[in-house]
Amino acid sequence: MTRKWKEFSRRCWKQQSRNLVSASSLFTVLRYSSFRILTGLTVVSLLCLFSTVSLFATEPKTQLKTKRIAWPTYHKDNARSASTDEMLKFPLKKSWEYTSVIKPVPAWPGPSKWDGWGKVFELKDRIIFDKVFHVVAANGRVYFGSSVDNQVYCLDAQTGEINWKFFTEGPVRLAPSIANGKVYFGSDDGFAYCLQAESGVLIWKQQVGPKDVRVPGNGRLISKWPVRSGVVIVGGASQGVEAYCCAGVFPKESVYLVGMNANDGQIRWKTEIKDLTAQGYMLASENRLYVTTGRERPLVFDRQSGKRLFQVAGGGGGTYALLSGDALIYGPGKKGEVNLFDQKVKDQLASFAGNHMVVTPAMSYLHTDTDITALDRSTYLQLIRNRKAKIQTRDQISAQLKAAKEVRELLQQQKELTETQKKNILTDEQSNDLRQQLSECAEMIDQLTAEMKKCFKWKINCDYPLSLIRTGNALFTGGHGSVAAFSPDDGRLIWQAEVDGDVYGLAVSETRLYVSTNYGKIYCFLASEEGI
Amino acid sequence: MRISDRFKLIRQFTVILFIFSTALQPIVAETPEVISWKLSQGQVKANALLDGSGKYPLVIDGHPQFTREGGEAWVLGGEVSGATAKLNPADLSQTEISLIAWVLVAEIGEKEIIAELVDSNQNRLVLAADEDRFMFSISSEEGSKTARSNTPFIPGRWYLVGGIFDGSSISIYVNTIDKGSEAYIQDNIIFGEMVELRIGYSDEGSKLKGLINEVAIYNQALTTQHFSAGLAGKRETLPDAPESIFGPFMEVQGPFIELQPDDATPWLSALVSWQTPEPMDCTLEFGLGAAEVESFDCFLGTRIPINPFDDNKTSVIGNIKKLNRKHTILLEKINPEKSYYLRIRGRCEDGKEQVSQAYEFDGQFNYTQQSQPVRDVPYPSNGTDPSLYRSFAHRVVADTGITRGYCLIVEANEGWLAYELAQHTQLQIIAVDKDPEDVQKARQFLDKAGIYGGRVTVFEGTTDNLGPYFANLIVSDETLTSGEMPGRLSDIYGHLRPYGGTIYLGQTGRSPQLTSAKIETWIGDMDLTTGNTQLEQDNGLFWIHRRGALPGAGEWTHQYANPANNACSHDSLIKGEVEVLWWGRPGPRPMPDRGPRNPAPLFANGRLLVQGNRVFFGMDAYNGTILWSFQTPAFRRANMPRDCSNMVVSGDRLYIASGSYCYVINAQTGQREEIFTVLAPSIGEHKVNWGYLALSNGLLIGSGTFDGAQYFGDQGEWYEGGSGHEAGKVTSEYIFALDQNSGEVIWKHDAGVLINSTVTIHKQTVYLLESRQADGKPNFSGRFPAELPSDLHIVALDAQTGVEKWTRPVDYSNIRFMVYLATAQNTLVAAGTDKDKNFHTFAYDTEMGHPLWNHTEQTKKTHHSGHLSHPTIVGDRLYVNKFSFDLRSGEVLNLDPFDWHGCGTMSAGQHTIFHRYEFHGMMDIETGQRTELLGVRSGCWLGLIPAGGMLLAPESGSGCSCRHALQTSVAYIPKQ
Repeated sequence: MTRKWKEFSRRCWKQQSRNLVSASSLFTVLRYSSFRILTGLTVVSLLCLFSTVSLFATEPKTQLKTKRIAWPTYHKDNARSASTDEMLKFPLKKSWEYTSVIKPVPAWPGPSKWDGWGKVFELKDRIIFDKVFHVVAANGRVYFGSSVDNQVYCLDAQTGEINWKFFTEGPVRLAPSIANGKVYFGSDDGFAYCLQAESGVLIWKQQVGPKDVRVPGNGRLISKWPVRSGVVIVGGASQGVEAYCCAGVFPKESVYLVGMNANDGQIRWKTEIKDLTAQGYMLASENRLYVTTGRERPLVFDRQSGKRLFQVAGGGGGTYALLSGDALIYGPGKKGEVNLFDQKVKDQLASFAGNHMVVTPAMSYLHTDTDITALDRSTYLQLIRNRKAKIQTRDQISAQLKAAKEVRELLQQQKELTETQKKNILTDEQSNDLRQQLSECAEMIDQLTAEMKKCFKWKINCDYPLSLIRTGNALFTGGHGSVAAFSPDDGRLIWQAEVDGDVYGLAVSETRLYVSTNYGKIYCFLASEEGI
Repeated sequence: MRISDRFKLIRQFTVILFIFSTALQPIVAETPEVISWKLSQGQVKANALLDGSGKYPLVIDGHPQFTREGGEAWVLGGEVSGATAKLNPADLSQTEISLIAWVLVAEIGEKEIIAELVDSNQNRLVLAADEDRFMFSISSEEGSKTARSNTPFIPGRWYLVGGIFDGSSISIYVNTIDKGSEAYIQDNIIFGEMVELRIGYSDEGSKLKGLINEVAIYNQALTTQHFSAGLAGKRETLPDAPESIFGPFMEVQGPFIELQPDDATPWLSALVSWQTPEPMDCTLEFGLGAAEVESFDCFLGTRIPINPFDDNKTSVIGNIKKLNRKHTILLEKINPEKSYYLRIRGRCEDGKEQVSQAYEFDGQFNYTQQSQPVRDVPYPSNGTDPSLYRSFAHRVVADTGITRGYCLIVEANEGWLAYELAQHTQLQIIAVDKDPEDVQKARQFLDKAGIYGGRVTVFEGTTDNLGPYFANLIVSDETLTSGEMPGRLSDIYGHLRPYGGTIYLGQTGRSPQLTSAKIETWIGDMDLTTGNTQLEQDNGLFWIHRRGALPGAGEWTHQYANPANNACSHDSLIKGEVEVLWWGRPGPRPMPDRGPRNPAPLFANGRLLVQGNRVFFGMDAYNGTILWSFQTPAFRRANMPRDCSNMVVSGDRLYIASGSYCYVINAQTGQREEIFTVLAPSIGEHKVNWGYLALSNGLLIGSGTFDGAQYFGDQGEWYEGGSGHEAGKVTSEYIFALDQNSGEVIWKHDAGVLINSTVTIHKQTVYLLESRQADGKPNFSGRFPAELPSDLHIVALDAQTGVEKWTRPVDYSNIRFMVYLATAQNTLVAAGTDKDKNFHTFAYDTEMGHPLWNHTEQTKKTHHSGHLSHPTIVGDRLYVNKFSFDLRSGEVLNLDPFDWHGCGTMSAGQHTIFHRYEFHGMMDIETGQRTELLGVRSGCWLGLIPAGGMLLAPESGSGCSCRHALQTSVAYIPKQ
């Protein structure tokens, strides 16, 4: 290790110990050999998000909270964080299971087998939103929509018995949202619906597309503008409650994003999308709406006006997305990649192999087909920032040397130089000094990269690649015929259960874990009274 | 290390015993060869095979397969992948060089290239197997020299083969012993700036079918001693040529695989059926796993056919087993997420055993409706006789035969008729009623029966919001019970599917309340002359109307619309602004990768026939219902610019060519009705497959193509280049005509070798491009190389008799990439592009072949593959290379200034041309207005067909990992 590197490293750690780093959202990039390097990036990248904690902040040690927390929308909240602070006591025990007569029928069949030109095999399915009946739960009730019998169900969380059912005229492919005692959802029949959560009585329904036209679509007679975005609810009892959703499949027919009064369904604004589809769960932040666009990258809109702001830049798209601070994380692209988009700079910062991610203030958990990795972002943050600065320095020196070389060649050809070119002339001594700096810079980047690897707290093999959520004391993962929980502290397997089918849906609410499989099963596992 | 140092080391080499290991060792001795490649799985990294130094990776084109048992070797068989390494010319000696390979040739062919060095100075060093000898040739602009081995090699054996250049002569060594002939060369080899080593390609001749273990290049003229050292101990370590890879295989008819849901489980069952060439006792081996060539990753066992129903039983083994031609097996517990492999073993009466190649099928390709048992939920008695609904449902199904697709029930009341129809059909039922109470009751009853949603959906309101053409069947509950007709005919007629969609309204009973007068009033002034109407008074009064074809609708029955290849359906309905009619499956998974220029979909009698990747679909073109599908692992064809499609349709019969056979499929049910065999299934020892096929005036026109000539496109090929391995034109040794129903042979023409992509039938005449080379030697490769022969003739044959009407010699020797013929309005058009991608277009009078005009122009469509476009003729206008010409005079009418994006070729209706832009696209012929149908992209050849009043676009962009938002089949109609 060179002297300069040692000095740098010492400064870095000193800085960290003073907790100088704070606040802003930050994305960074690092090389990490255990990750597959993806398109267009020479390094594999990880996310460091909104640090409002000190650099040495760590995950709180497991403390069981008795607080019961609802899971009122897909992946818990409008950021689709898939994360709750509720803690479940293990072991969980199966409480009940619900079985649909017919297993779910996804709108879209699987992806191509391979890209012959690109020689890309095992292409990922980019449009995944209705492989199972995703559940939401609140106030002792469980809700889900059915892609086979056009209905929305409300079950008793304790018994699994049906409280009520509500008929629509098309498949209900995405989970409802629960807010203020109401259930909101969209149907392939082209309408957004609002029901009383307790009784299932219709409060309002609103046609989202321009007209009610039913044609054969995905094997059923449905609206030409089916609602396949879910219905996002923003606001609470003390403020105006807004509902947002999209309708439409074919850009040729236009696709519509609407903002509605959640109380009566009146449309406040309607935005036409003429170039992309809108399929997959929408997301919302305080000021923005995020529309997932099938195989493409998400679109971003102003929440108040519906004005289209921009399309997210970067790698391959898909219907998977979550928000974390200013970061929009989306995928899975061609081969399972999570792309990190910074809204502040409107640029993709990085992309790395993975299917899902959950984020806490101190940690990120990345879920791939084969493993889960936990990253201590706090330490990583300073390293990556410095590495990025070093990369910039390296690039500047390289550019200087390149310009000087070009000038030398011109001089050899006895060509006249412009004033700008004359500024690029370097003496031999200057050149040598720059080369030395370049060499040191490269070495330092490598050292930083090596240090960053140490930020990964643990990595475990995981045979449950299909879904991931986080509770206060566990990471739950869904796999082929089984579901499992791992400790967020060290990746230790805490609990595991067999189920029928592939687990694409997980939710935790009010001491219960809900597991949805592609066989049309919904399992309820109840937390123990005693346990860890 | 400098080159001179290397030479010093070469001189000092010593012989060592070869130790087989995964580490790279010199191929013949401890000689520091320039480059050496071990062709084993372990050397594959990303898409490249690494050489010993890692300096020269062999970039793989396709998906290589390796033997696994008894040592490793790269499998080259038929149209498998190739690989290319770019070399530094400074690393190659100009004065002495040896090109060495360990090779096993499984099947004798013509100039099967083992490895070759090519460069930008037109030098070419080729090591090949030519018929039963090995050969080494060096060619340059000055000419070429060839050395051939003296003794024949034996297929299935390993040989160490070396081509040697010592500065003045070339020679070939085969296992030390056979030094072969020599040829003298005066000059050194001056390699150009770009040098490539290529393995597995063939610009001409056959593609190597065999195994290669290793390839190396030495900057030295190796000698017998070197070869002796290389041979030592090595051959024993190399794998045998497995029968399961190279055969000889038994050719079966099929196999056909139909997946069916298993009611009680999430599994499927697979009905596998095939026919053997002679009566046999068959077993089927099947397994699971990756696409391995030798053995299944997970062997799931052997199954014996359970239903010998053959009527050609000829003998008995023992007391019980009968030998059959037809065999069927039901494989159970098929996982819908997995791919399976199967292989058929058959034993003849004389005990001789034969084995088929291994076939793959995919558990995902189940397109039957999900099984949804109807629970027996008796409707509450409201005074209506329950048998009323049941008998009416029976009657409708029996009279119409409609059991799939969509059924519209107008004035559906409480859904009883829907319930009965759901029990007796697989129809997707849409029940419409205005009364909210009835709607709610109907939903609850049908939900109790377990069929709400999946089988029956009840809409509240009228039919006003329903789209056009979707209903295969329209009935009314209200008419059945009260004798009142639902609304007016004009309210519902637009929903009825053309080509046989049926309205069946009536009331059962001796004294129905329904009267003829009511029906007449209901019909009003609707013009029903294009359909078929019946009034039945058998136990009631029933009005039945079957809708006919839409006036002005066109059909698309052949690759380029019709046997005349003019790529125009003459559909006059599809024009102007369009809207989506339906969308859905098939999606991308069952379809072939978009690149290899796949056969076009077809349309006839209201059905859309789609060829996926070894899976076929019969679809209702007006609502996207998949009527049937089957997997046929052996059925595939690609590279349409250099061959012809394997699929044509006439009315209700779909004809598919595969191997030596042409299968006749019922287009409504998917059932096989006939199998015709190609006229002469072999020429000498060479197997002949069914090549071209077309239907014209009651005749099935076919041709015989040598086995191995047809392209499969399984390796991600785009076939855009001009070299032989992708631009070789598939040829036929003869063409013939059968009666399309009886199979009776009508005529045969075998005066020359014809080019499949040129066969064109117009007004009782077959036109084709034919070579009549004097030597008469069959070209067993079944392809012309990129450059066309110099003795081409356009030949016109009487389609009914095969008698030659006229011939005209033509000089197309500069045409390289492809060559087409198309006809319309008594004009025959020939088109092709030369090596510089100049389009050459020629027009002839069809009567006697007199030339009318010709035109040469650089390819105008600059986006990739513009140089391959097929001509399209609409009325008196020819569209080719972005020009439109007056067909008869050749006058250039217009040059399209817009550079269409993408790799497809055009199709046309009477008013509109369709083409891939970035997405699906169309252009109004009269106004020139362009429309891009955003969302879905088209494939790389002809995937958009205007027919039946629609634009039909089955999914064809499969494999594109680009970001198009959707990948789906879709149909458009003119905006209503």
